[in-house]
Amino acid sequence: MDSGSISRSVSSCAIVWLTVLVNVCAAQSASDNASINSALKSKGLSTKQFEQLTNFIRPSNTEDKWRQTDWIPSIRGGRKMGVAKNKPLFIWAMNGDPLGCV
Amino acid sequence: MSVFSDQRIIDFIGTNFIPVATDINKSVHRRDEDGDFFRKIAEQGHYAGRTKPTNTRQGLYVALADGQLLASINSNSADSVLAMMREAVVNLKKTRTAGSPDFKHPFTPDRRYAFPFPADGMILRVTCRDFPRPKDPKHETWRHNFDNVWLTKKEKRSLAPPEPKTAKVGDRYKIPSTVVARIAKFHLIDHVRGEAPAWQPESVRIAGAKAKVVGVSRNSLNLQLTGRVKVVESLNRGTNSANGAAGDSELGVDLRLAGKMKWSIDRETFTAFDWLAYGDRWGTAPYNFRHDDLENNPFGITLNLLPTIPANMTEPKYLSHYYFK
Repeated sequence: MDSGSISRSVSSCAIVWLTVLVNVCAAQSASDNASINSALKSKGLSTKQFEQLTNFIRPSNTEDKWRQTDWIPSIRGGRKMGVAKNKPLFIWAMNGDPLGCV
Repeated sequence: MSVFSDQRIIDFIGTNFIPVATDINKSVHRRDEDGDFFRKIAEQGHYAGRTKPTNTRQGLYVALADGQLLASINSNSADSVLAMMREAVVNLKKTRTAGSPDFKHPFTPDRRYAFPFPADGMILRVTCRDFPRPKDPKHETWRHNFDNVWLTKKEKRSLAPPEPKTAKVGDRYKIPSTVVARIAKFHLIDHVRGEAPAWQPESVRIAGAKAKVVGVSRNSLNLQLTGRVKVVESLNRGTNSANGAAGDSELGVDLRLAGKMKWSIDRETFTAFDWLAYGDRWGTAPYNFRHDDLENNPFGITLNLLPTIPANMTEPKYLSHYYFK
C-alpha cells in the first residue's frame, strides 16, 4: 500500500468517525430536548429536572465571552483609567445596561 | 452568536482599550459630565444627528478620554467590529490629544439617575432563554438576556420562614404576594429577543408562591419553593420598531415557579438562592424581535444569588420606574 492509499484510508476513517460523532451528538441533543420538554409538562420538578432546566437557561462558559472582560460601569471611571493607562476607551453603549438587560 | 462571543473581539479590546459599558437610555439624557461626554462622542459617530427611524445612539465607540472619537459602529458582525477597532488604532496614531482631562473636581451625578443599592439588600441575577420547541426542532435557543433584581432587606427577610430559629422540617409558609408580584412585574418578562416593557400592575393576574422547610441544621434552613405567575397584557404602545407592525396585540407569560434556598439563621441572610420560572410566553413588544414569533412557546427564567459587591450592582432595568413601590 502506497502512502497515498494510507492517507486516503485515514481520511475515510476520519470521515466515518466524524459522521458517527455528529450523529451521536444530534441524537444526544434530541434526547436532551425531549427530556426538557417532558420536564416542562410536569407540575412538580424533580431535583434532576430542576437542575436540567436551570443549566439550560444559564449561559455556559463558552457563551458570553464579554464576561471575561472587567467592564467599567461608569464613563468617568473609564476616562480616568484611560488617562492613567494612556489607552482609548472602548464604549459599549446599548439601549439598556450591557451588563444587565438590553 | 453575538459579537462578544468572538474571542478575537475580547482579546483586541483587552490589549488596546479601556472597556466601558453604558446604558444610553441614561447616558444621552444625563445632565452631568458623563452625559456631556457621551453626547459629544455620539455626535461624532455613526448615528450623529439621526432622528429617524429612531434617535438611538446605540453602538460601539472608541474614543479618547478628552472626547475625540477614533471610530464607531453599530453592527452584529464580529468582522465589522474588528475592522472598526483596527481603524481606531490607526486613527489613534494620527491623533493629537487635547491634553489630559482634569478629574480633580468632584463629580456631581445627575440625581435622576443616582439610585443607591438598598442597605442589607439582596441581588439576584436574572437570565432568560427560550427552551427547545417540540414542533420546531430547529428553533434557535442561543439567544438569552439578563437583568438584576434588587430586593430590600425587608423583602429578603420575607422570603424566609417567619420564625427561623424554631422552624422544623415540613413547616410551610407563604411568600408575600406583593414581593412575588414585584418580581413578576419587573423581572418575569420575555427579554430573550430584545427588551420588553415592565408589566403594568393590573396585568399581573396570578402571583403566588409558598415555601417549605426541607432541611434543618444548627445554623441554616434548606427551603423549597413552588408557585405560579401569570401575566396578560394588551399592549397598545405604537408600532414595532423592527417591522412597523401595530403593537396592539396581547402578550404575556404563564410560568410555574420552583426554587431552592438556604437561609443562614445566624447571619439572617440567604447563602444560596436559585429560583426557576418555566412555562410559556407569547406576543411581542415595541422594541423586540418577537413580531414573527407570537404563539405560546416555552421559555424560562432563572434567578440566582449574587454577592452584594459593587461589581455586581448593575442596576435593574426598570429601577427608575417606581421600582420599590
